[in-house]
Amino acid sequence: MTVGSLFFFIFSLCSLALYSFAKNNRSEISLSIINLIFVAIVFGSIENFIPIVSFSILGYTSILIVRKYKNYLFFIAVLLINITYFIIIKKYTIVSGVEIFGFIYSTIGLSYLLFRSIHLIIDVRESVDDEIPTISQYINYQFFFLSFISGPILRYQEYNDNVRDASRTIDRVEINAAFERIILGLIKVFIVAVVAHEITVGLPVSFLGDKTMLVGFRAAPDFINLFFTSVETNEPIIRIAFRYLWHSFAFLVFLYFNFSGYMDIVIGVGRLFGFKISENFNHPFLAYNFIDFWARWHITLSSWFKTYLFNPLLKESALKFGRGKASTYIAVPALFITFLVMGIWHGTTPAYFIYGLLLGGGIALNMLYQLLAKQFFGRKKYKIFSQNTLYKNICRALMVSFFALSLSCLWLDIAQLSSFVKMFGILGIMKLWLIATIATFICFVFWEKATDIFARISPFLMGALFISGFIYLLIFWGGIANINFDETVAFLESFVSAVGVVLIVFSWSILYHCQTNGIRFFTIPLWLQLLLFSIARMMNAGAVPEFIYKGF
Amino acid sequence: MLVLFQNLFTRGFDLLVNVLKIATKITLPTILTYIGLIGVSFYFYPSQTSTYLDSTWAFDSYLVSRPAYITYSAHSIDTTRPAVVLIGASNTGVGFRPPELSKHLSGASFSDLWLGSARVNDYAAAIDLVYAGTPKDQRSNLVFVTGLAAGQTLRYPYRSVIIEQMERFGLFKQVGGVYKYSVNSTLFDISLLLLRPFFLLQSGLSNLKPFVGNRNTAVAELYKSEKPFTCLKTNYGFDEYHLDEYSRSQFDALLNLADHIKKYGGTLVLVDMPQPECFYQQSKLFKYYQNYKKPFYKSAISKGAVYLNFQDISSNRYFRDQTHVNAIGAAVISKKLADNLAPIINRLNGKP
Repeated sequence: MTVGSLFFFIFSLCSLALYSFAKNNRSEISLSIINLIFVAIVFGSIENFIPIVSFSILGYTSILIVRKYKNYLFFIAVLLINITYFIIIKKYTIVSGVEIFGFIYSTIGLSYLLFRSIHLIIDVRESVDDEIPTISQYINYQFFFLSFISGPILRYQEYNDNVRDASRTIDRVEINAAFERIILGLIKVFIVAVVAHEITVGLPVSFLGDKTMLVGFRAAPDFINLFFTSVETNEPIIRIAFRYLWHSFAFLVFLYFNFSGYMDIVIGVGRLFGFKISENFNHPFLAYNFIDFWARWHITLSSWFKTYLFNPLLKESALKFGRGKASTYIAVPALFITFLVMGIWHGTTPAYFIYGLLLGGGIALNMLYQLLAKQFFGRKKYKIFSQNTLYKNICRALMVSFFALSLSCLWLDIAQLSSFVKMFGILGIMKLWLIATIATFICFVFWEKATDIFARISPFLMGALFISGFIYLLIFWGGIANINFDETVAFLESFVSAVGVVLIVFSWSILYHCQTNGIRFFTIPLWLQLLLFSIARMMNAGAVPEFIYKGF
Repeated sequence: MLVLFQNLFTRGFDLLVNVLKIATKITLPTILTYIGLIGVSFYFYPSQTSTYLDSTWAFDSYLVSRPAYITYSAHSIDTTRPAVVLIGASNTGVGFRPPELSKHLSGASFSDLWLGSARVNDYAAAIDLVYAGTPKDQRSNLVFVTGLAAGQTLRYPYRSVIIEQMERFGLFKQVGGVYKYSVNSTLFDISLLLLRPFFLLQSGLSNLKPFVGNRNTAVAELYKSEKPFTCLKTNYGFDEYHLDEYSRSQFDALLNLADHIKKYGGTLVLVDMPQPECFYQQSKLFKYYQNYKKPFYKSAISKGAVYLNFQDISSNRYFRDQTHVNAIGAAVISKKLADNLAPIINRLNGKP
C-alpha cells in the first residue's frame, strides 16, 4: 500500500470509522487492529514479516533486560546486539556472507524500528521510575501505521501523548486544515516530485565510458568545451558535467518534494485522527548554514541523532578534554561523527559511507569556519557580517550546491562514483561545485526578488501562477506540446518540462512570503486544487516513483 | 458490543461524520465541475458513429491528436467484411487516401490509421488495438497496409505518443508484449465518456479549435496541393549517426510484426513507397536503403507478408517533397494500391 494512493485513503477512512467510535479506553485496541491490518497489507505474507517481528521482539526483550540490569556493560552489549542484528538482517555489504533467514523478505520500516528501539532502550535505562510500555503499547508504537514506513521518528512519550490526548471532537477548521495539508502533499508527491524524477530518468548520467557523453557542445567555443576535460583521457567532458549538475539538482528537488509531500499526507491524515504528528521539514532551503539546514531537513532524524549520539559524544568529550577555551571546538569532531553515522544509516553499500563522510565533512567544516570567524572578527562583528543579505545568499548557495552534489551517493553506485572522481579529479569536482554555487546563488537571488515583487503586485497573482503551472503541466503531460521524454532527451526538453512545476512551487513561495510578511493574498479553493491535481495526475502516463525513504 | 453500539448512536461517529462532511464539501464542487466539463465536451463534439477511421481528420474530433484518435477509436472499425487498415508515417497517410481507394475498389472498408510516427513498434501497438477490438472469427478480414521508405523509416525512430496515450488512463495493458484492453467494451465506452473532459482540455489547450478557434488547415493544404517537387541542388544529407542501429531495430520490429499478423490472422502488405527521381539519383541514404532492405523484405515475404514495390513512380510532378506525394501522386498510387489489393479483397469476399 502506497501512502497517498486511493487505497490508502480508503484504508484511512475505514480506520477512522473504527477509531472514531471506540471509546477512549478502547482506542489502543482499535489502533492495534488498524496497525495490524496496515502491516499485513504492507508485508503481504508472514514470511516477509518474520525478520521485522524478530527485530521487534529483540527490541522489547532488550528493554526488559535494561530495566532489570542497569549495568553499563549490559547496556552497551544490548545496544550492540540490536545494531549488529539490524546490520545483518538489513544485509549491509560488510556482512554479505552472513545469512540468518534462508528466504527473501522485506525490510520496510526496519531502520525506523531501530531508532525507536534504541530510543526506548536508552530512555528506560535513564528513567528513574522504571516504567516501560506494555507489549500492546510497544507494538502500537513500533507499528504505528502513520509513521511505520518512513517516519517521522516519534518519541514514545510524544506518541503516547498523541494517543491519549487525541481529541474526538476535532473542529471543522482543524479538519479543513488537515485536508489542505493532504492536498498539498498529493501535489508535491504526485506532480512536482514526479516531474523532477522524470528529468532524472530522462537525463541519465553515466561515468562508465558511454562515448556519446564524452563530447563537447557542438555550437560552443573551445574555451567552454575545454573548461572540463577528463583527467584520464583529456577529452572534453563538459556535456556530461552539465548533465551531472542538472541531474543532481533534479534529484534534490525530487527527494525534497517526494519526502516532504509524504510527510504532509501523513501529518494531514494524522490530524483527522486527532494526532499531532511532528513536522519533519521546515523550509530547509531558507537555511544559511548546515547547522540550521539540519534543524529544518528531516528534523526528527536530526533530532534523534542529536539526542542519542551528538549530545553523549559532546558530553564525553567535555569530560575528557575539560571545559577550557578549546572545548568549543569539541563540537566539530562530534558533529562529524554524528553525520558520518547518519550518512551510513541511509544505505547498505560503501557509497553511503562516502555520503556520510560528505555530510559529516560539510557540517564539521561549516562549524569550524563559524568558530574561527567568530574568533577572528569577534562575536559582534561576525553577527553583523553574517546578517548581510549577499553573504547569506552566498552561504546558502554554497551549502545547497554542496548538499545536491553529495546526494550523488544516493543515485550513483560505488563504481560510478569511482569513475566520476577519476574522470573529473579533485579540481574538476571543485569546478563543478563552483558552477553549481554560482547557478544556485543567481537562482536564490532572483527567486527572492521575484517572490517579493509578485507578492505585492496582486493578491490574486499567486493563484494565477498556481493555475498556470497546472495548465502548463496538462499541455506537457497530455502530449499537446509534443514534449515527450525519450532516450534522446535533450537539456532543453528537460528545462521546458520543468516550467510547470517551477510555477507551482513559485506560487507556494509567494504564499509563504505573504503569510510571513502580512501581505494580503487569496488562496485557491481546495476543490479547485483537487480538480487541477486530479486532471494533471490523469494526464501523466508515467509511473509514480516509490517514496524514496521507504527503502531506508 | 453494547458499548460499541452505544457509542455508535451517541457520539462515536461524530468525527467521521465531520470528516465526511468536509470531504464532501471539497470533492462535490470538483465532481460537479467535472460533470459540467463532460456536458461541455458533448456540446462541442458529438459521439463518433463511423465504422471506419480516417486519422487525417483527427483534429476535427474531440480526440484531437492522431495517436489519441487511433488509441480510443481503433475498436470501432467494421470488420464484418474485409477491412483495409492503412498504417504508417505521414507518407502513408498523405499517399493512400480512403476516398480514392474506395472509388477503385468496392467490397472493403478503408481506415486510415496514420500515426505521425515512423517507428514500427508504434504501428505494432496500433495494430494490437485493432486486433483487441476485433472478434477472433473476423480477424482474417483485416488487411494492414504500411508504407516504407528511405528516410524516416531508417533515420527517425522517435516514438509517437500512442504508447503514452495507452498508458495514461489504465484502459490498456500489455500482456506478453501485446497491448490489450484492460476492460470490456461496455466499460471501455463508459470510460471514454468519463474521459471526455481530458480530451476536451487537450483540444481546447492546443492551438486548434474550439477555444482558440484556429482550425488546423495544414492537413487540408497538404491534401490539396498539386505543386510539383523541385529537386534540391545540393546532395541530400546522409547522417550516419546510429543509422545501422536504428535501421536494424526498425526492420527487426517489422519482421516481428509480420510474425504477429500471421499468428493472429490477417494480411500484412508492405509497400515500398515512391520517391522523386532526383532523390533516387542523389541520395546516399536511398542507396543504403536499397541494399539494406532486400534480406528483410525477403524474410517478411517468407512470413506471409505481401510486398509491393511502387518505386517505379518517380516523376517529380507526383511529389510535393522528397517523401510525400502531392494530390496528383496520391490519386496515382491509391489507384495502384487498389489494383494490387483487389485479388486479396476478392479472395476474402469469396470471389474468384
